[in-house]
Amino acid sequence: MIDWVAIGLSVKLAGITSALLLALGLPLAWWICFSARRARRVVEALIALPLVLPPTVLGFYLLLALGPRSPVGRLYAAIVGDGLVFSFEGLIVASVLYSLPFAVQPFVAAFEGVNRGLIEASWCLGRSNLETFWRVVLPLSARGVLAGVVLTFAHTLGEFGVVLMIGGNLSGETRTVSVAIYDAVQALDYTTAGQTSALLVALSFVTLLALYTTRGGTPWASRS
Amino acid sequence: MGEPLLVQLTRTYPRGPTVRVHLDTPLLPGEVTALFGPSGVGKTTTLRCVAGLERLDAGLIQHGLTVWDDGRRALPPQARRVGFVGQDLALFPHLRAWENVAYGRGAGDEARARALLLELGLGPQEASRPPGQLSGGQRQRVALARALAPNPQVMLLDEPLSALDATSRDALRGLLRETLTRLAVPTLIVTHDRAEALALADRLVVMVAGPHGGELAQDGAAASVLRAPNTEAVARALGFDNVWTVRRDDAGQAWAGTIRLLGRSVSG
Repeated sequence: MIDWVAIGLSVKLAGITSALLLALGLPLAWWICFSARRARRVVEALIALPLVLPPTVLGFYLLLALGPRSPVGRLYAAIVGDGLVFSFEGLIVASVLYSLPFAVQPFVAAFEGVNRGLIEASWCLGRSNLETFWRVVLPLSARGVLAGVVLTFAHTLGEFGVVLMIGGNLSGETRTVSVAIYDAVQALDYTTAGQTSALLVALSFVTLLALYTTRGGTPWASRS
Repeated sequence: MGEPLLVQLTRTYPRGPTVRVHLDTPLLPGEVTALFGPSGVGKTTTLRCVAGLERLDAGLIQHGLTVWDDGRRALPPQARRVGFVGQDLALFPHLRAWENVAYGRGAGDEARARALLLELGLGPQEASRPPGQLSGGQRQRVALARALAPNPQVMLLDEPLSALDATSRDALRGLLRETLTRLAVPTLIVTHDRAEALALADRLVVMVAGPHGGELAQDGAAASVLRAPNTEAVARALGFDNVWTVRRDDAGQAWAGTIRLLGRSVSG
């Protein structure tokens, strides 16, 4: 039987991760685009790491970084009174880090597609960086930004390795849909695994189809 | 009434040329100065440095008593209040014409933007269209209106009429001159066109390619620079092809080949 609780949890995790990455990724992408510092190359490489690292490696380091003996884990426990690993909040932190390139790279591509002359025109007309961003850059790169958000959502929805390492398998707390599928296969319940997998495929396909339909092309290509 | 603008700049590109434009006297309010010269001598760079889009390596850009850039510290473009019209116009494609005009800080509301566009010959219908639905001449007018709307302290125009056909160019040239005279601030125009320089500019600054990059070759009243270029390079930059090698004989008589010259204003 399909684990609707796990599906609900995955959608919630994907939604929160996408919203957080929208808030964090936009300023980060802006900085990458417009910073003259060499550090931007290092930051870009760090952000892209989850694309090439095995999820278990990232999960392992996150487990150490967020664990109860780590400074972050101790600080979190002191404030909230509970540990960060094997919790939904821990999953959010892991998902944000793991999905970072899926948001930031399309944002950077979208910003780089905005004609630099428009940004300079805005500055000459007395508008600050923030005003220029809201009134010129964001409207002209909205499709690319939307692509980043949708890719983040779809990617988070199907996360497995990092989720398992950080969250474990607690029903209603950290068991996401991909972990539920793994559980079903381990229990030789291929019917449930098949139904849940088909649902995940359909959900991911519809999400991407919606993105391609509104974009009419490659999601991260800018049109300004 | 505006304030004078002093432009003395040196801009060096890493592993590239150096642009050196040190004007002895400031650009005066109401005075239109044309920067004239071949491609690649740094005319646009000069404009961008004045606008604050590029930093000086040395020199001084000063408006009235306010230092804009002295090679160490520079005011950002937002603080300079320049009306900048670049070659590509850079109109915001997602905004309608009047919204482009009303975009600048202190540019005013829709009514003022529309009134400004009307002054420049764009009616209510055109004012409501996005730039993509306007002709080249109309876009040029929108760009000019947008630069004028926030009451700039300095106007900077990079080949303002180059993209237009001859008819539109003639029509807009008169309007531009009239508008700039009324605005009464220092204006710097980059142009390749001798006729345009003569029609628009009071002062002509000719730049040529020097051994290390672009440099100032002659600066003076437009008509006098055009009448008497001080070097062969300036004459050629101004588009004069009838340049002759002149020699003087022992009696002080000037000769171009075997032709005896009668005039006194022989230079070079």
